[in-house]
Amino acid sequence: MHEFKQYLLSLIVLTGLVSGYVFYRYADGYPFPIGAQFDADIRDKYRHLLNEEDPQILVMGDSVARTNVVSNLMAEGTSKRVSVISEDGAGSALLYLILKNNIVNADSKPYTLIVLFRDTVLTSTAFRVHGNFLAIMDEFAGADDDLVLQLAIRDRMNPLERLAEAYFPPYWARAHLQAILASRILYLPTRTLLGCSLECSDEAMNSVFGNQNFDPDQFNRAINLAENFLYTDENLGFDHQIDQSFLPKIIQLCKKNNIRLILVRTKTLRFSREAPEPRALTEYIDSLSSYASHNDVALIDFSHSERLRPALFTDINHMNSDGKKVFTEMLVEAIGPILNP
Amino acid sequence: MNFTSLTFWIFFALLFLTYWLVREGRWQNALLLFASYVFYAWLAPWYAVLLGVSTLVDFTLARQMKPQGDKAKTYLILSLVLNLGLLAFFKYYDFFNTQVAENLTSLGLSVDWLFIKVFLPAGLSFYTLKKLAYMIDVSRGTLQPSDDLISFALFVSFFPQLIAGPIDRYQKLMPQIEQKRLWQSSFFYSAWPLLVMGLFKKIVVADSIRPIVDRIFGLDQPSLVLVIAGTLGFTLEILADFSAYTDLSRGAAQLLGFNTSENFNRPYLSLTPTEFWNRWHITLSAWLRDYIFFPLRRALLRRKERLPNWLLLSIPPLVTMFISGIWHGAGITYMIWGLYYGFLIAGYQLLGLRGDWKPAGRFKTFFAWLVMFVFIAFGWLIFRAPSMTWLSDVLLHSGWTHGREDWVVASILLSRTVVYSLPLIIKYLLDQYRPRGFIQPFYYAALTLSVVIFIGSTTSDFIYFQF
Repeated sequence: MHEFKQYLLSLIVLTGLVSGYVFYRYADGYPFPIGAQFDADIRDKYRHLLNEEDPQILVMGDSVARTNVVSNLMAEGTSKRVSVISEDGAGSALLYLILKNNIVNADSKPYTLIVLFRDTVLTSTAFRVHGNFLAIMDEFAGADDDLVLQLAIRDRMNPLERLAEAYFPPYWARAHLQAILASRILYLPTRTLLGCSLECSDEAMNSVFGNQNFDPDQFNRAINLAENFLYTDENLGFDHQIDQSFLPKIIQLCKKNNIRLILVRTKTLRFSREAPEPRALTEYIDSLSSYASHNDVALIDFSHSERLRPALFTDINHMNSDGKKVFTEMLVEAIGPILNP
Repeated sequence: MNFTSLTFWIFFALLFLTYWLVREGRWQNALLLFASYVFYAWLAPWYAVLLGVSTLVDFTLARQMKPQGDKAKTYLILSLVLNLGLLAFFKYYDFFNTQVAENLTSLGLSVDWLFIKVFLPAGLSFYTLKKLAYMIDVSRGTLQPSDDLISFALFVSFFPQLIAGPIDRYQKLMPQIEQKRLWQSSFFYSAWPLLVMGLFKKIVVADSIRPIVDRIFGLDQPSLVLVIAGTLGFTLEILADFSAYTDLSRGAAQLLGFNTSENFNRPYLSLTPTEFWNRWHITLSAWLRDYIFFPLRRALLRRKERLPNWLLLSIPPLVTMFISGIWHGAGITYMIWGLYYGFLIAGYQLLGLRGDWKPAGRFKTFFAWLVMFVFIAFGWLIFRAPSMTWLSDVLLHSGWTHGREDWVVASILLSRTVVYSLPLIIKYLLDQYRPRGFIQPFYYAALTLSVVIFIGSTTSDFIYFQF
């Protein structure tokens, strides 16, 4: 009992000290704003790209867009100018921000936008919105894009988290405090002994842990684990997810800007004879297909294509150079009737 | 439901309030049983069905046993076949089925059904050992079979221990289940340090080390420098992760009025492999010792005239640790890891260094500790390696480093390992030199604040869930 009282007292004192530091260093007001805030600056590299390349067809997606599509081959096959936008690890929130703040603001908007996606990515609103992804989202977001944070982050917080974010300084400032620990303590030996700064350490990490250095089986296992989020009961529930996702907004933006939207479901080797696609995913895709057709959006599904053999993949999601050609040919064939009805 | 998730703590708070409002022991047990099945079914409903059916079968078989005679043996064999069969099926099906199916396909047989993936129900390995110990003790006549299904089912499924132990024996848990339990403030005062420590070790230590360790062991051919750093990181991660689970499990049990077993007693301070296994996963070691090691040694001692001494000393640890290895998982690395410890224990014993061996002098003690720590870390390298081919490639063909970047990454991980192990070392020193006074509560307050700073929306599962 006595020890517990001392514990509580210590906790109050320590919390007071840390809170004082947080107020002094980081706070602008109280209660704190819940969740992250976007700054006003918007990176417009893709707006410039579109203005320079003036594409008629734009392919957009995560790294799969880069590894699966040969823009020259696609341009030849469709007789149109083609550009590709690929942001590593992009989830639907980032794709929406790029569309909203770069693509539709370009002087040369594409006539057709092809969005490559995997399974439930388009409606898994909270997929890849934390950590580094939040920083990348911030690059493409403006201060008025608060809705993205609301849908992707704040709406996913439980009441306790929201309360702690608003009123408990150590919790609100936890990212800052962790960064202090990292820069002052965790990286100290590296800086002192090897003369390597934080940036140099990041470069070393990126170099050692580049995708090409991983054992393929281990790498696939890691991807599978990271993407388990896409297959939770919540994210497989299309009807529940659609209204709080970015897909309706993406469709709306395209319509408003006279951009024809084509959704292309890419193939993943996650599912196999040993672990077949769950029924809930099949039902999800049926619902997505109905929703797309109801909104006059074309949906192409390559996920069960026999032509995309496992030998054409470098890992469960990305294709090798041969696979890239096959995928592009298939894409050209599939969009032909849509482009020239 | 993970012990570090909000869902679990809401579930626990509701249970806690209801449980202590119900003052009748039988109703408390019924409520705990119900809560345990809800907790388990939360992971997958069929897990709870499997648990229920297997519990019912063992309860019935135990009651059919007579303390002596052939009949008890028959029922015991039936129980062993059922329990071990179930465990072997779920644990090793995936390991063997692909190979078998491919061979059968090459013979022209259609075996598509063999390709079905079988998932190991979490906790199966743990509750199977609990039930087996009970069945063996009943068959030996050292234990009377339970005639209360609810109490027995609660003993098997008690949710704080269900997923990853501790593997408490019937003799320890059942008297507590059967006795009347009334709320005492001492339950809370024993529980809170365990809960703080458990949350800290999992959220701050294990989850901070894990990402880099996972990446190093995912590399195709990492340099030796990276592997050494990764191994030391994993050595800390697995201790923090598993002992965190035990602390949280024990803390939750304490709040419900149960005193459950400790599973860790500063294992990395061991001087011999036997001592290590007396300090690491203590309840599993005790199970293996009582139901495999001792019976095997007794059987061998009966034939000691025909067997050389080195064989008498070597066979029991080798067999026991091999079984420990395959209990941990289906894979060559686990088997080799088990055998590695078998050989180590046998080797130390052949040199006359038993579990309680203590060298004279500080230097010798330090040297003995260092040697054992290297052995332990190497053991974790085998355990964590993705495959034996990977491990042999790395050890035989990888250079010390592939460039300056390797040194940088290794130093980042080593700094993390040192920094995150410091609070655990400080705890040891406080327990040794300042067990009373203001500093311990201050230490726990600092840990609590660290948990708040490190907590995220998602926490990874505990490593031992997979076993």
